[in-house]
Amino acid sequence: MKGHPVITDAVATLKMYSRNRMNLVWMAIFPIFLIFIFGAIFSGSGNASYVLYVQDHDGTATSAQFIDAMNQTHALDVRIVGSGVDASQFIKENSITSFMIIPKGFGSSLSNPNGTAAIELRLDESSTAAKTVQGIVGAVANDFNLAKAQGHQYVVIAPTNIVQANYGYIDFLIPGVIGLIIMTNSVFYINGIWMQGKSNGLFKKLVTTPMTKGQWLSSKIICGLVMIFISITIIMLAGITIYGMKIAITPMAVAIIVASTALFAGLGLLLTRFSKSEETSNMAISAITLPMMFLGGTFFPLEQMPSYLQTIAGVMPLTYINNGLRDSMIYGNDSAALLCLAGIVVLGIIFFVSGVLLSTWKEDGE
Amino acid sequence: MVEIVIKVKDLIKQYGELRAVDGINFEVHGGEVFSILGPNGAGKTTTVEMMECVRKPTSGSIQIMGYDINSAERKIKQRIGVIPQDFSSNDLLTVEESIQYFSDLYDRSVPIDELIKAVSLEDMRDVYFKNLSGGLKQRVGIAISLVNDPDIIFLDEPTTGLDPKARRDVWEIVKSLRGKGKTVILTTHYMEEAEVLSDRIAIMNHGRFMAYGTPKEIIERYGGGTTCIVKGASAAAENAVSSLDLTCRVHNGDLFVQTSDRSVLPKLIRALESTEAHYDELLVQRPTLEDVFLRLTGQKLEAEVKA
Repeated sequence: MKGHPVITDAVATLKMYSRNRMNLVWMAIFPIFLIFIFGAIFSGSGNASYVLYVQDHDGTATSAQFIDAMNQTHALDVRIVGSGVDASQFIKENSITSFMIIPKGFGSSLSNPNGTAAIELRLDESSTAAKTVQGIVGAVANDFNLAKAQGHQYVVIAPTNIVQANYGYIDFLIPGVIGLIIMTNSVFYINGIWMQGKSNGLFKKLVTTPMTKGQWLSSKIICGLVMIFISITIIMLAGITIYGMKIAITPMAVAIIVASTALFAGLGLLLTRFSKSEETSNMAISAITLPMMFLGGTFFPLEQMPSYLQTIAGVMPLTYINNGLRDSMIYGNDSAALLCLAGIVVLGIIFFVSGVLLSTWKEDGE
Repeated sequence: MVEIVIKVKDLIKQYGELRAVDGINFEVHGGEVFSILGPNGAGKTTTVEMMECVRKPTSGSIQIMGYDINSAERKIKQRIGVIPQDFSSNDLLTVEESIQYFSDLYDRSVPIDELIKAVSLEDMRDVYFKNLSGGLKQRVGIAISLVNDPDIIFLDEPTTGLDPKARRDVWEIVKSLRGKGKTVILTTHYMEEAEVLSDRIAIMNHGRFMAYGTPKEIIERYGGGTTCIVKGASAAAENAVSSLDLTCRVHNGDLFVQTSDRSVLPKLIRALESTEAHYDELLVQRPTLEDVFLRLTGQKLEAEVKA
């Protein structure tokens, strides 16, 4: 009983893929690596905090109280520098980015009801952490002032989570990582296997058979989906067991994953038209996927970016994939996800058709 | 009546400024081995790739079993088998799986065991394609080209890069295909291969057919006649031959007389015997396809291939 050429090719491809041990190892390692690294960086777990060096020339109970208040934030890692040390020299020799000097007389100034004490905060403005340290120290100083003035807190903030109270950053990150896996796996896989088929002579044979490029690409999309779902399973298991992730894959997310795989597979095939060798091909793929990775909302929300970058992100397919996955998996908003899915399907059809039409099994003039 | 399975008319293929195929016309008969012989860059592969529906002609027409290549690509591909130049299959499939894979791409197929037996690969059926030698890979390629029981088989330089034993194995398979009534289109730059295997030959150079017919016809028409070589000819022998008013040349002490007149040889022997001129031996050499190629193109084919 003969199968369809798409199934024949997909079965053969998966069989060959499973026989290459390195493929299997990397397929398992890559998602775990991503989730581990980005989860650790962005989830706030562990003892991540900003280092602040403090030189206390005052040495009173009041200055100690202020230092303790900073420590209590757990956002600052306060390290005391002896009062006899030359501050400028110390900063230079140790490449310090945040240094606080509590002057002599700090405590006595504050014991005076109308007194003011100035704390010197030296910051490396080129460091991205400087503004954060300044903000934290400012908040501590405000609280300290309020307590000293025995003032009343008229406005208090009670933050609550607009999704489910127990969702964390990891639940935001996972859909982004899934989008990233779909993009990199599909584009690199299709492009790589195409270049390989061209260079090793397999396409010279395939082009003489009744198999069409559309059937070939469809088969590779099926194979790509199998590999992507294996990676997603690993990601989900790692997210749940290591970081206590709460979100789950929804039917809408599955639809988005399938459409996205076809979209990026088509894009990968389309790119073969514009690159003659594997090296230029990889560069072309990197030039397209890297901006999408950083601007498509994979690791942090688009709202954190300047408005012009948000405009650019608005035309990137990965943005719709990430938004669609989050709409469905985090917010349970399938109608919003459906709009993203519609956009992905339209783009997917465009990339699939143009990839099949513009790519060539064999170059004219070879 | 001879069945025409391939009909090529005024075929041209242009790549920018380069005309790879320059207005060729020919027909291929059913059940024959038709070889296109020529050096690298002659246009052989471009010609067969147009017949295989891999490339589109710039102009001209090709009919394969009555189907036009521009309108019946799928039907033609179902009925032809091809081993392309530098053929390769899927590296991590076994011999049997590779043949099965290609078999499943066609509507009709031959039992896999039959194909494996036909190319004598019974002991290799579970070996990965990537682990086979060049000769064995080529045998797998031949089996793959037969999976759909094709009427016409295209073999594009099937023995290039193979050792003499593997080359002769391929020859035997080609002969057996002809024995089964298959039409074989063979491109090669090996003179001996073309001469041994072909019913008819086209000699191609610079996109054109320089000669076209059976090997015998081509040799008789373009070979320039028989060459008599008088080895170690003395001056007296040279004089005796010159007296016959024949065109001859001397090279390294040997005398070469080329003629298409069959009566020359007895005259030559008589002249040498009557003058009792000294010579070491007398050889008679029939022209080969190599000689034909040299005469038609002014270059040696085998030398070009080696280069």
